[in-house]
Amino acid sequence: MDSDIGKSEDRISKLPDALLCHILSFLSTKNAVGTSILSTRWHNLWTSVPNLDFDDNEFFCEYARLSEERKIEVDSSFQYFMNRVLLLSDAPCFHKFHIKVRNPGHLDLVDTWISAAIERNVQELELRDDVETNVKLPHTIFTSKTLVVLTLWEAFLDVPGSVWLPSLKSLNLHSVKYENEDSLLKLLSGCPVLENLYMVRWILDTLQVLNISVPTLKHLTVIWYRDYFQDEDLEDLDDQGCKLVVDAPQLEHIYLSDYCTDEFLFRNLQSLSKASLFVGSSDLSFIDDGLRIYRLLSGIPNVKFLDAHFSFQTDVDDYMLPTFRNLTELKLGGGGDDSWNLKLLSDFLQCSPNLETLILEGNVLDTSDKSWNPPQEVPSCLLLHLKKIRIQKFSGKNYELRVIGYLLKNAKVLKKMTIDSQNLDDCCCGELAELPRGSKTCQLNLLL
Amino acid sequence: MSSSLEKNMLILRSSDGEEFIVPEVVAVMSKAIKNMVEDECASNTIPVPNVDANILAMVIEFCKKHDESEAEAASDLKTFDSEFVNRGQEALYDLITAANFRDVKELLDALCQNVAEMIKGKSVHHIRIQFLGYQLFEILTSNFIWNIWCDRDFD
Repeated sequence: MDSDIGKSEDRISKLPDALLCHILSFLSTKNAVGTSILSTRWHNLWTSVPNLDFDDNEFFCEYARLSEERKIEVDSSFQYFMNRVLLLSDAPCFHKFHIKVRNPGHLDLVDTWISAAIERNVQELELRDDVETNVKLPHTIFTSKTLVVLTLWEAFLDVPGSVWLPSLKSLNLHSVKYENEDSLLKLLSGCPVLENLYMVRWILDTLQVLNISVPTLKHLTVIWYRDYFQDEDLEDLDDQGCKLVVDAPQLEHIYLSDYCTDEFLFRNLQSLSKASLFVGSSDLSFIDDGLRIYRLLSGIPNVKFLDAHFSFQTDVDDYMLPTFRNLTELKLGGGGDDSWNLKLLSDFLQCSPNLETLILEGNVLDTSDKSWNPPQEVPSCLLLHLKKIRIQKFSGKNYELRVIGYLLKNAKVLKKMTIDSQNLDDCCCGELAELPRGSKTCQLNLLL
Repeated sequence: MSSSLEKNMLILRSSDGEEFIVPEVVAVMSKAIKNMVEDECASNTIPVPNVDANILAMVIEFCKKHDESEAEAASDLKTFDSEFVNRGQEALYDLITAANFRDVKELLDALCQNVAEMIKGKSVHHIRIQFLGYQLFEILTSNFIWNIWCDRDFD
């Protein structure tokens, strides 16, 4: 900038309206409207910006410390601002409408503002509600023809009888409360082109059955943890445990991080190519772990990439794995504080005939002593396909060494084994390097 | 394609006649060029009018980095972007115009985001200093009445 001294002129203001509006669209509405007093050039520009982003905290961040009278003043100035912007904005349709509400003062106006945005054919709507009493959504939100992305944080979902969202592609629900068991089902059934569903379930969610049956769904994320410090709230829970049902013939990718659900029922997941599963048994478990593993994995036999982190009781016996014919990349790791599930590893090797890449993630904290019982016959993936192995967080435990020894010896076409032993003080490099290798072209990389 | 030119390479000619040999994958990050290539109305040399050699070189640098860094960590690319767009007004203006004209969305967004950051959370006073540099700063500090400026066009 220094070189501009003396000869500078305001080049930015000379950009055409459309580009200045594009610049303003990266700002919160408060900042964008603020530019109207820069000069007459900027005076009306913000009114054409199709992205609106409001945050009542941006108006007064120390709201909580204000006196009641002052709070009412601050609230009404925010309300006045919202109303004015919605009246003055002349963008033909809103691309984005984001609103974050933290002060309870304007709860009863939020649905009016959202309705106004729906009226203006909004495509991307985000409501973040940090007030304890949850905002109720206006019913017009459920029949918007233009809505493409809907994101709700902590809202209360009371779904009316008729839902029709013909353009909705992405639905993001963060800690949403549902009016009843059918609310979500009703909502999903009115989304004929939904492709992405992202759900973080509320820690006190008591929904017994989460049923996700969406024929067009391509990406699904479900995240659910419970806070057991709030146990007393969970006492009302029915004794049957919770169920997750997914029926999505076009689903390509599933990400599941769920330590609460007891029963997984996957149907019609023939298109699924990538699955990331972080699953463990909850303290409120009603089903034994073998059956859970079976239910979980038997529903996804077509995956190509599987990232499985199970923190079940290790070495459960009573399950069977399907044959993963398409599986080429497998990552196995402990979830939480668990380590390699050796029985599961052995079974996976036998059930994945076309496996090319295997990634094992160890656990440094694990002190248990386990024994590695290799499969009776050398699995065909080791003989024919397995080319890359990566061991992460190797900590030099006996069973880890035995597994590595077995893999090196029997993987006949292995090209590269990488061992990440950054957590290891006393390196057993020599020992590793001397292990007999079944493949002559195998490279061993040690990351120290 | 001329024989000396490797396959999948294109020549871009700036408004002042300088030529740049660029891989096709990089060049087509400009939607305008992509359309020309797809419609097969591009000969081996594509003229890029309204963009001089200096600016064209910058645009190519940006596109190359974004093409290469697919595997790189997103944070590295962010650092590169924020350093790349940190330029004086003159260059910002020319780059925004070029990115808009050639339809390079990633570059346009990075640049506009940068200008937006110059505005974000700042007082009118500060924005004016940023946009006008020293000249206005001097005027403002020599006791001009603010309100006059509020309604005056800088043009």
